[in-house]
Amino acid sequence: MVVSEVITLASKDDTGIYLYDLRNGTLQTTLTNSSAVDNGVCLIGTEYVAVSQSGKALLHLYSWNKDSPMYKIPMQEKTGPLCATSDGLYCCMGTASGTIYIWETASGALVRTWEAHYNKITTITFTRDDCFLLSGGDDGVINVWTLESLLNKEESLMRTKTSFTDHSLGITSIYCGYGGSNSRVYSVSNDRTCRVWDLVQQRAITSIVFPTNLTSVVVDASETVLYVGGGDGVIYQTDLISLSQTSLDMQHSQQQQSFVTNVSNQLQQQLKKTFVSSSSKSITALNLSFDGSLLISGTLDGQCNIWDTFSRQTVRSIASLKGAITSIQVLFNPIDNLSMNQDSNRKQSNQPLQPFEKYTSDKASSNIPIKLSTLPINNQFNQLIESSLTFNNQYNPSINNNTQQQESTEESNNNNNISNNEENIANMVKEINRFKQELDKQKKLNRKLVDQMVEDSISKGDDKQQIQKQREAIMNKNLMEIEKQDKEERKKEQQEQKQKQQQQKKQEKVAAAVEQEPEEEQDLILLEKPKTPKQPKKPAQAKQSAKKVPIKALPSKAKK
Amino acid sequence: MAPTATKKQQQNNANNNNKNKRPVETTPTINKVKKVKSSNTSTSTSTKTTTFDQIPKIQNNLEIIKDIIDQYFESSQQQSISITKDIESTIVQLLHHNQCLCKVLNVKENNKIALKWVQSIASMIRNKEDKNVSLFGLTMLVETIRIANYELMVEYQNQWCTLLTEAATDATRKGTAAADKYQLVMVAMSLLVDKSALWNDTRRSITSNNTINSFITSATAPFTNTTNATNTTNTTSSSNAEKLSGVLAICSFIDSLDASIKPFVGRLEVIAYSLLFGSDSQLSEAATSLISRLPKCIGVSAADIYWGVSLNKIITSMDVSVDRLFKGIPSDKSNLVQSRVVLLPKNAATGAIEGNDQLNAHLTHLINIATPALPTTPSQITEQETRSFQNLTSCLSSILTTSTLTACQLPIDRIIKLISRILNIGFTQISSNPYNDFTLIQQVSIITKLHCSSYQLLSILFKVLRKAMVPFIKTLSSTLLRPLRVMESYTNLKIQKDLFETIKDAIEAIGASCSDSLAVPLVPILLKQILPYIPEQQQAAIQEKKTKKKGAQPEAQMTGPAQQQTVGNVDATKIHDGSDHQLRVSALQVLESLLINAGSLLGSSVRTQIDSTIVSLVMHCQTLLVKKLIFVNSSYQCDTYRSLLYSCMLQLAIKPISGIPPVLPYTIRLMSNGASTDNSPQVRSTCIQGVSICESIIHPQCPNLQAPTIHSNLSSLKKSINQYQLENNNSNNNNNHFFNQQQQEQEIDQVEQDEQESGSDEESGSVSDDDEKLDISLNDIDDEDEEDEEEEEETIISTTSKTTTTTTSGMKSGLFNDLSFNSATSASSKNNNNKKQQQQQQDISEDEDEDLDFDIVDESPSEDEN
Repeated sequence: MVVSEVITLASKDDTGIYLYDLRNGTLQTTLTNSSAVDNGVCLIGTEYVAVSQSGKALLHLYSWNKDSPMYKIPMQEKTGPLCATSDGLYCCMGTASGTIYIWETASGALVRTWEAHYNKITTITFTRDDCFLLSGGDDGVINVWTLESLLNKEESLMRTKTSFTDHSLGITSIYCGYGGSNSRVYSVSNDRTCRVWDLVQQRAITSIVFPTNLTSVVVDASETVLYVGGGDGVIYQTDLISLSQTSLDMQHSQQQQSFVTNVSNQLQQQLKKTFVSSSSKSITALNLSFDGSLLISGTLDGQCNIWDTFSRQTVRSIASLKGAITSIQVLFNPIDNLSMNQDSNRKQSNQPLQPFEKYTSDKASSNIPIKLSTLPINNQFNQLIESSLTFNNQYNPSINNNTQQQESTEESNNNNNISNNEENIANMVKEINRFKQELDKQKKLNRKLVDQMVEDSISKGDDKQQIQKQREAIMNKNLMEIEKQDKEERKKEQQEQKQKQQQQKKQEKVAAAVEQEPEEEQDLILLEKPKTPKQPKKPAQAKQSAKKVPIKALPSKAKK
Repeated sequence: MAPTATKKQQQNNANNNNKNKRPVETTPTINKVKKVKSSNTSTSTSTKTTTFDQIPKIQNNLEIIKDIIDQYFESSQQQSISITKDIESTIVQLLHHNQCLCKVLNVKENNKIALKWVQSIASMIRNKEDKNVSLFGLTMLVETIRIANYELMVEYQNQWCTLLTEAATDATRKGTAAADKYQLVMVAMSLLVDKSALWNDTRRSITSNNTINSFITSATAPFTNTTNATNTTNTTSSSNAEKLSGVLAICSFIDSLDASIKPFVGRLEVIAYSLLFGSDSQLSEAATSLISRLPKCIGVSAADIYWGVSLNKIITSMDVSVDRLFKGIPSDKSNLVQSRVVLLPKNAATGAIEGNDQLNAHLTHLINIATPALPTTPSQITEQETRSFQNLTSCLSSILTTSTLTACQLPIDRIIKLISRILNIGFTQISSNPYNDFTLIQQVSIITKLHCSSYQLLSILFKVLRKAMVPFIKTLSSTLLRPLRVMESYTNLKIQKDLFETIKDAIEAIGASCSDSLAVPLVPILLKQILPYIPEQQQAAIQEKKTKKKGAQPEAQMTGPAQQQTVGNVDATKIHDGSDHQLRVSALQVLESLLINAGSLLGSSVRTQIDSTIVSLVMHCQTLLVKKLIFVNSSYQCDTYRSLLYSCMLQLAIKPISGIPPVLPYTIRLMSNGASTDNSPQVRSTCIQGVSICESIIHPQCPNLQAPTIHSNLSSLKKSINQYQLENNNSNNNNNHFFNQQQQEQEIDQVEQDEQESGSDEESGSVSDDDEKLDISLNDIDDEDEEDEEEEEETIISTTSKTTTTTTSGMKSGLFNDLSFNSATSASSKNNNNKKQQQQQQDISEDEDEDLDFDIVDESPSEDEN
């Protein structure tokens, strides 16, 4: 499906608002019975358009489903420029007396009116994040208002957030770039300057002087190119960025270009002055296509030109409008030709919109009309509905749950493998320590047994020296044996550890390894335990031998 | 061809092997089927290699279906094999593999097999001897309905309807014994209705033939059983699972048939509201879903009125339960004045609607559905009322998050009043003066539960209404900030977490508009909350180490303030555990979203506070990491905490404001350090993202606004003039016209006059403004846009010799100078230009000197600290 962009053209004297396809120039539809003031057309959300009627205290509200106005709303005074928040919740209008009105579109309630300028308000716009409202007037001032303060009913006296007063003549157009409250604002004025403002620093960044009074301004989405429409019918293009310092000449040959409307060659002799006054009138409105490749301009005599921004050639001219073009909007085609002008229940299924109030009332406070859309919240039942009616989980949910759990446990196993190994190592070290402690206990036992044996032999009346020698010999022997045992055990332990580490490296099942290893170590204990009863026997044998064998033999053994 | 064929065979066999592997434990019978299948595939591929993709598959599918009918359907009825769950699931997988069942049944040529399939399923479902067989049959039916196309539906819809109704009545008669059968029947019914709603004639046959009536009767059977259970002993009360599946089926009916359910709305209302006030949480959740769907049944014309009344009813019930729970607590009387009776909407609203009486009957029925009676003892009251309040809140949330057919009037004022009434009563009020029969423990539990529910409701409101909440933000921000200011009394972690989440939702919903009322007063609280916890012993250990190394390392000095702050955040009386980190994490999340939405609007003093705190925390964390002193149980050990610290720092770098030193140099250095040194992959990925963003700030694709030199500008003008002359000579039919030289002269003369006229205005204006601001004439743009200071640093450092700025006087006189335009030959103008350039370069160098001085001032703290 091809996405088509359309442009809406509104004029001061014509009786309709025209929607043309931007790319092929076909007329999509005409919204009847409207002639708009300057900047007097605004889109409310995606479904509605508001139009300030020129020279009347009347505002028309259109839906894209119908070509005649949904509501014709009388106002307190002659209408002026319009703007709406990006979600279409609030709509603002400035008037010739310097008053700004703000409505809640869903209920139509007039939230506030306040004196914003000393003179006629010529342009009004919201920042892209709807945080600030910017208004420019013939008094040369740009006022910045916060939406929060506008909607705060407790605040009776409106104060501006900032005022920009650098322009010396009336403001004609304001363009607010992307970036919300951090954005840059471009304003043009009759004093022939275009100024760029930073909302964060709340001051002008730069100012560009042009050779004529300026009427309209537009900047491409990436804010690299500035287009300014002049009172002389010329559109001035300015590159805001030169990408490379080295190729200055290349850049600056393109730096300053101008769009000149199609004037016959004979008239070129009197070019500038006659240009403005004769065939080509002042530029009144400018806009860009979404990709920035096409520039749409409207003039005072109702001619709309579509330019290619790269070659600066006119791609198409639309000259069907009477009177000055006051507003150009570019949007995705909202018209569904099949359902156009078909009154059914569509009105109800659209976003809520009520006719705007002429005077303030308390209507806004109690209820908000809203068309809700589904939001995901933590409702287990809704999840259950989804899961039970879709294929994947429907049949035998228990199995699925199990498999999910298994998967999750496997994942956690994988994740925890390293930590598990560490734990296992720590456990093994603990066990080894335990074995060592047992060994120590057994050694102590041995000594006690030896002592007992010796004491027994003393009680039987052997020589003390012999006994001592015997004792020493046995002790030495025992020590030797114990040392040997120790060495063997250490070797075994080391081997075990090596095996375990290898096992861990291979990431085999750790649990099995843990189960096996205690068994092996239990075997070790079993091996050791039989030794302990044998040890006491040895001194006994020694005692017997001491009785039989000559005593000299003992020291020799001990020496060995 | 031969080798390719063998390859394909191998692949095919491999696939079959994989299929065999998939079910973990397969019975021998299943293996048989698969063997048959694999042998078929191998033979078919060997015989027909050319049309491998299409024909064999269909044939295989046919074989599989035939086999399933032969092996399972018939043998199970003869009770030669018993169908286990494993077999069932494997068969279901087989049916959907390569869309097997779909491709077989939805082809006209396979009429006979389809008939056989459907008949055998029907006979299996009707089998009353073995419960498993009928369950298996139902499962097969569910899968058949799932894949059925229009022809199949037209042919078998009525048959299935009667089959399912029979099965449902059978299952309900058996009670809880056949609960699983009932659940399957409900799923099959909802799928059948869902499928039928796709085509007009099938839909009509469902809705007009009294079928839907019997469906809804069987779906509501568990609820009628329970009411009868007290009277008759034969019928057993239905289990919750049956009730759940009943509600599930009803919800699905409403989704697919919407307005056709209108005659049954009364019955459904009674069920839904009785479940809502019930004790089972799952069932009450189901009831909320059902209630939020009910307005759809009424139809487009009156859906909004019904929606309004049901919302009104729920809010009124919430008011009533709050009345009961807060009995005796002094509160704002304006809340109490409001009547606790749900009223019918005014006739003006309903008058225009056709079938007015019917609608009124619906609405009065809805209003008159009774809420449960109040129990006597205080403990029962607390339990029941808090539970019902929580259920009502979730019901309200569910209604607010379900899409409506038309625009509805949301009584936002009433909801916000209710919320602020609850939130205005904190723990301090109850502990000081016991007010009624409730004990202190009960009071605390009441307050805790009500507050949590209110915060959740408020979150939903913010998410749903977004910018429409801006008018209430001042009231709400004071309500939300109060508990944070007196945090000591709010030691309940859940409340605090919910509170932070609500604030986060508020900031995200409203955006920068919250900066004054919510963001600025929130910042000091958040900065206190995010400070890390470090266990005291380890704190002492650091200090010892520090005293040893005193004066030796500048880093130790640098982290000093941060540590002092951390000491301040250690509360000796608090139990510090994992959940405590959660609070810090949620506070950091709030701070992050605050910086994203309103980072540049906070004002320089607040921003300085945030900048210094966050950067010092990150530095502290990194120094501890370097020294390997990240402690057990300290906040730094929490990965999410660290990663959020980094992302907050990134936001600070992205949203610089003028007047305070930029965070970017710190950010990029700390981020790249974190990307290489941090242990956690989560934190590392945050750091890597951050580094890439910082890099794009430093080396932007689109640099600052920059100005050309005057020389080049004039040369370009000359070029264009020359070009125009050439073009003029060559062709006169070009669309795009440039001025010729004479015209240019005229223009310039005129412009010069204009300049002189407006120059006085301009100059007077520019004198009054900042000196840094520059005026540029005719398409020249200021280089010193002063967008981001860090960017400026970069550009100035890298292109000190190249950047050129222009002064107001030089520009204007230069550009509209007669000399420069009159001179067709370039030599004289070049001389002039060179002179001017020299002059201007002097100016520039002066300007740059100033800038550089400024930059050095900016840079100095980073150097000191690093």
